[in-house]
Order: sequence, then structure tokens, then C-alpha cells
Amino acid sequence: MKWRVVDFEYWNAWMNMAIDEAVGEEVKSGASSPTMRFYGWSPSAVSIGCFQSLQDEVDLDACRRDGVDFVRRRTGAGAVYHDKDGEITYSVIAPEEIMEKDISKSYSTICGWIIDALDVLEISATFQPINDILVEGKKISGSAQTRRGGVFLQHGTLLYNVYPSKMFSVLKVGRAKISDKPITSYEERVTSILRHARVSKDRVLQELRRSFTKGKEWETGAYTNEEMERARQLVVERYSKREWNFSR
Amino acid sequence: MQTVAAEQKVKGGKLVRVRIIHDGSIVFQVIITGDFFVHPEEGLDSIERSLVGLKVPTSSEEVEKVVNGIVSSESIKLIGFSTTDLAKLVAGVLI
Repeated sequence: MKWRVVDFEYWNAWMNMAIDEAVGEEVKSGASSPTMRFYGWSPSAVSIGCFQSLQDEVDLDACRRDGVDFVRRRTGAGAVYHDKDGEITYSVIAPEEIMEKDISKSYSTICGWIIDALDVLEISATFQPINDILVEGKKISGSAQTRRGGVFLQHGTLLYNVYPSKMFSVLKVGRAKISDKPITSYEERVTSILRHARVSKDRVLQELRRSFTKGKEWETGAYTNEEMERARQLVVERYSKREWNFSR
Repeated sequence: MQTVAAEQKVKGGKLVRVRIIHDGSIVFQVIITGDFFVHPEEGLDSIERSLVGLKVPTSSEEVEKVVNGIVSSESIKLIGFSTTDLAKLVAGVLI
């Protein structure tokens, strides 16, 4: 089965989540190929896991003050600050039957692709179950997965650069976790590519595309008109809605 | 009517929070939040609904029996916490 690779582009938070869902629908119907997409968030945004409470996790006043968007994902896991300049995000969207049935193994497999890319950049990384990748014991990547209606979606982040002060201003979790510690202790828990290798974001993307597509038939592509139209509809119907974002 | 809440970071797992509304004798609403995974995701709504109507207090064994029942009948997979973790958390605030 031939994969479609959509190269890195920026979208806002609502569209990023809506594109994942719209592509999933088209993959399900067979209209679109299994898809790997790489993307950024503009403006910077916070996404929360589908089981989290926005009020518990996010300082909404700080988001409004700093122009940081927020959105609820359709996947579990924790709140993430997606810095416009500091992060590469990926999604893998495919029929469930071509992916591993075992959830833990499929996390390990896709995280393995990221580890492979980092390895070529001479950054030694390890998979930390359930859904993280560590470099020298510090988190550099986190992922989340859902399987609905026969469609597999895993999306995740790779920190290219890290801006702890921005992270702290919008994530309540981060602040609570370091409330009894100096700010440097949070920095001790996370790391980024630039702390280990002087490489451009384009070079990282090149290696990610190589490792994600290794051994697969693939071609670069764009979203179809149907996907984009559906994504815009999902923004209106779901991702921009208070009922969705504040549902827990 | 009163609201009670608790949270637990499961060792080697995820953070689980529960918020429960009860009238001193019966549970009216349960909201479970956290950075865990539930497959399918709608399974968490089922688990929450299954706990409505529990008596106050209820033992963790009783809560676990209810949760195990719904998890089994709806083939729900929990990742990052167990039914035992959840049951202890829920029973712990229903006292």
C-alpha cells in the first residue's frame, strides 16, 4: 500500500486536529492513502488530552495574554505546549489493519522511527513506555494514539528547541510539578534536538521523512479538496467549540 | 449535595483524577480526568455512568467489581491505570 507524505506546514491548532480527523475519514473510505504528515502550530498552542480538563491543565488567561491557542485532542495523554518555532509534530493515519494490533508495540514501532532519525543526527534516544522518547533520561518526544472506526491515528511531538518559560506560563501541570523546585528542575526533565546537535529543522525533517518511509512505498502529496473542506467543517462543528474544548 | 475529589499519579503509569457529586448516600455524577488512555475513548463515559448510583460509602472491592463489569462487557482497554487504581481512588472519597 502506497503512503502519502505531506511535508511540514503550519496550521492553527483547530485545523491541525481537524486535518487529522478529516484525513482519517478519507482513509477509512479508501479515498485517501495512508498518510504521514509533519506540521507545526501557528500561532503556538496548547493541546490537551481528550480525558483532561482544560481548566485543570491550562492557564487560559495566560494563553489569551500571550496569543496561545488551545484545543482538545481526540487522543489521550497529557497537555502539550506546541511552540511555533520549537516543535515538529507528526501524524500517522492509516487503516488499522496495516498497523500493529498491539497498542504498546505500535507505539514502540513509530517511536522507533523517530529514534532512528535521531540516531542519524547522532542523538542517542530510547523508547520509554508507554509513549515517550528520552535522550539522556530527558523527554524529547511524546505521542498519543487512537483507533476509531478501523482507522489508526498516532500523533506526537519532537522538541527541536525548548522554551521552558513559555511552557510554564500556559501549562498548569508544568507549574504544579515544579512548584517546590527552581525553574531549572523542569528543564532537567525535558530536552530538545538543539541541545544535542547543531542541525537545522529542515535536516531533522529530512531524516524523519527518511526513517518514517523506510521500506515503504510512498510519494509526497497534498490534502485533497474534500479533506480540506471537511477539516474546515470540523473546526466549526467541533474543534473551535466551547462544548468540545471544555467538555471535561 | 457535595463534591469530592481526589487524584493519584499511578506508579509507572498516568495521573488519574476523580470528581464525584453525591448527596451523602448516593452518587449522582462521576467525572474522571487525566493523561491516561482508554480504548475505545467512549469507554470512559461508560465507566463514569456505571458508577452513578453507587452507595456512599462503598468499598474499593465493590467499585472494582462494577468497573470490571463494564470494562469486560464493553471490551474497554485502560492504559496508564488499572481498574484497581480507579476503584481505590473512587472508594477513597466515598467515605
